Amino acid sequence: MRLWLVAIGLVGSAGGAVARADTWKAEVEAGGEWDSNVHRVEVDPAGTRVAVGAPLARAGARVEGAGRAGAWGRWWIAGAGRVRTVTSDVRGEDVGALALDARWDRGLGDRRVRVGARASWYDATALTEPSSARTFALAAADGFLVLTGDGDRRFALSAGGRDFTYRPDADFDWHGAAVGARLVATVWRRGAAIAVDAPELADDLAALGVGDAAEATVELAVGWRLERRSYHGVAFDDGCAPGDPVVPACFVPTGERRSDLHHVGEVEATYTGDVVVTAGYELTVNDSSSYGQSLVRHRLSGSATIELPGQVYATGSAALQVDQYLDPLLLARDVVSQSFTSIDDENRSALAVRLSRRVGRGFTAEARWAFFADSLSKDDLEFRRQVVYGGLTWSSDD
Amino acid sequence: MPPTSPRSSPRSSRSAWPGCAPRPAAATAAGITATAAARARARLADADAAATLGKATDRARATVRASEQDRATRLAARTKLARAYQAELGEIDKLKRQKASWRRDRLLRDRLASSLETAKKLSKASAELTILDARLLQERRALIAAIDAELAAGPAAARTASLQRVRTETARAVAPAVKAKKIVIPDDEIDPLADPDELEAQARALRDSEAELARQIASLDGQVDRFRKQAELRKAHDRAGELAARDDGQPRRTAGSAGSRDGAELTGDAAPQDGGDGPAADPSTSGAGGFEGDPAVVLSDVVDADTVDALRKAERSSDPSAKAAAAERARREVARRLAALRKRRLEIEKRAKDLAE
Repeated sequence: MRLWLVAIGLVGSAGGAVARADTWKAEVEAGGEWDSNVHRVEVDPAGTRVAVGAPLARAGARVEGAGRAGAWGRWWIAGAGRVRTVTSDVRGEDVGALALDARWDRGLGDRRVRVGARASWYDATALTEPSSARTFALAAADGFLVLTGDGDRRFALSAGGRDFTYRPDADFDWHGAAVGARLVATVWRRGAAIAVDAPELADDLAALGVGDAAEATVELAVGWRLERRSYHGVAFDDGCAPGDPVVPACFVPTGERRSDLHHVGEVEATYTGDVVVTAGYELTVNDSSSYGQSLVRHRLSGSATIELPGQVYATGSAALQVDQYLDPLLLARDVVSQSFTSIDDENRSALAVRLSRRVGRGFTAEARWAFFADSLSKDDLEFRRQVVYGGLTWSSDD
Repeated sequence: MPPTSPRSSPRSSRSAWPGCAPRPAAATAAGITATAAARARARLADADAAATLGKATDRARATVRASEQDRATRLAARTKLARAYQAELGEIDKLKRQKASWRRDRLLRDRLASSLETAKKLSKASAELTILDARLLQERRALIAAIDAELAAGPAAARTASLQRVRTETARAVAPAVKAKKIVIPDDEIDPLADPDELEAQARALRDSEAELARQIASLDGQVDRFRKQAELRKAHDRAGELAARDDGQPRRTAGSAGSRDGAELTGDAAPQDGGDGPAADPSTSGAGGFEGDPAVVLSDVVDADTVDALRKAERSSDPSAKAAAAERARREVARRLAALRKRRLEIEKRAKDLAE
């Protein structure tokens, strides 16, 4: 409750800031959904666990503003709230999420270098039940340095801290330092000849990325981040002899707290032209001091957006995710009452199609179908989930 | 050497002595052998010629490549010098605005001397580049000629395709760049002492400028449409990604965000990117990249400095909505200028008419 009061206060402050912003925008959305596996359970072939389908309602709003703070640089702030509620008698899936994000930065020297700070807070709370498997809070604060190169190249370094609260089980709460680096550059562009009236400047302008007609571009982003996660819960050790079958008794609690090094490396390329196509690869390595919690995750994703007749925009997306557990994995979910059913441990590949069309000033109608599966999972459990969504969005920008 | 036929050979028709007369089959064989040899010789000669032509083309191509590399190196050096010069000028400007003091004057003298030195180097680098450009032009033309000669000899299909590709690229480099003419608005003040003829001439000049501005508006309209469409595509694309993240389609224990992008923003994307201290940019739209044509140059005398600045920023933006917004702003400015110009031209024409009457 106290947290929510703080949140309301922060939202109020954000609203006040947005009201004084040089630029601002707001977005509102609402829609209905059918979820074939609303609890997102993995189905046991023996039939002890079955997927339950349910209709849901979603609604959300978001506001953001940006402005200048005199000689101190500039700021940007955003606040968002979303609600997802089941409209049938299925319990435990009503979740509300609140997010706040604020940033400030200023240029240094020749302004190719910028320094700044950012703080964000994301809170997903169960609305009707005491807790839900997907309720958590994450606070983040960072300082960053951005180096801007020729054309549009920019390289950013950040360092800060995180504090994560997993509501269903405090053993999964963690906090720790985080560092990151990210390089973004347009690596290819298609355009017409340089068109300037001063030939002697043409080459200089071209070298600076000015003057060529970028009818299409390919932007490449490469990033890496590392979090040191110090958990509230204790680390487990392997209490069984090598070669023995993995049973719950093998998981022996130690006297030390669990500590993970969580690395994420990613590379993504986006083509923007008459169509927009994105392809990406993400590698996650979680190096844990707790037995059974280390993993390597590979995620390949791709999506493409095209315009169909009737000003309908269609986006097709696909993702293939493969998790490799570095220790023998115990599939039981109730080891020492710890819930391993966390949103971080999914092995989900996905297919999705979204259609959208403007239906009035600021309004866009959208429909989406998505299918999730653990197609490459080696365990006996099977995950299947289909979601069909239809809704309306409004944006002050449109 | 013409092909030899036994029937047409004078020797065979005159050989009347028994035993000496060549047998028809042997004569045919000898003839065929001679023909084949001649053909082989011809093929060999053709191959030699083709090889020679090929070598000439390769040599010309290597020369062009070497010059292009040299040019790229020199260009990079000149760009570096140009930046250094700009920085020095900026520093001098700052010093000039400072309160006069012994220290400031000393620094100013040093910086002026340094900038003069840089200017000389820049000038030398530009002159060298001009000479190199002229040489490169000749070398490219020579390469095109060599390719044409080799193509005329009918090389193998793969070689032909390769030569044609190189020729197209080289011809494109040789072709004069289409230059955008800066729109210069003529004087639109009414001279009270001007006679009707002078006023008519002034009105004609203004009418020409109106036509140029109208063309520019049409061009900007096209750009706005194209970038708007791209912006719509990007928006739809980003929204699909946002919905996927909401569905836990990807792990969510990264930094949450109220923004339209995910936690990846933390390490740079969301950081302001225009590198300047101008008006606060919308983080979801500010970016960097290129722009259609160079309206900032074409319109530099037509629209206000802020619009030119916005166009410059959009030129570096990879975000189509930023480009569309800049092009829209420029279009509005040009349209406003066109309306004002038209009004003034009508006034001048009326004045000319009044004076003539």
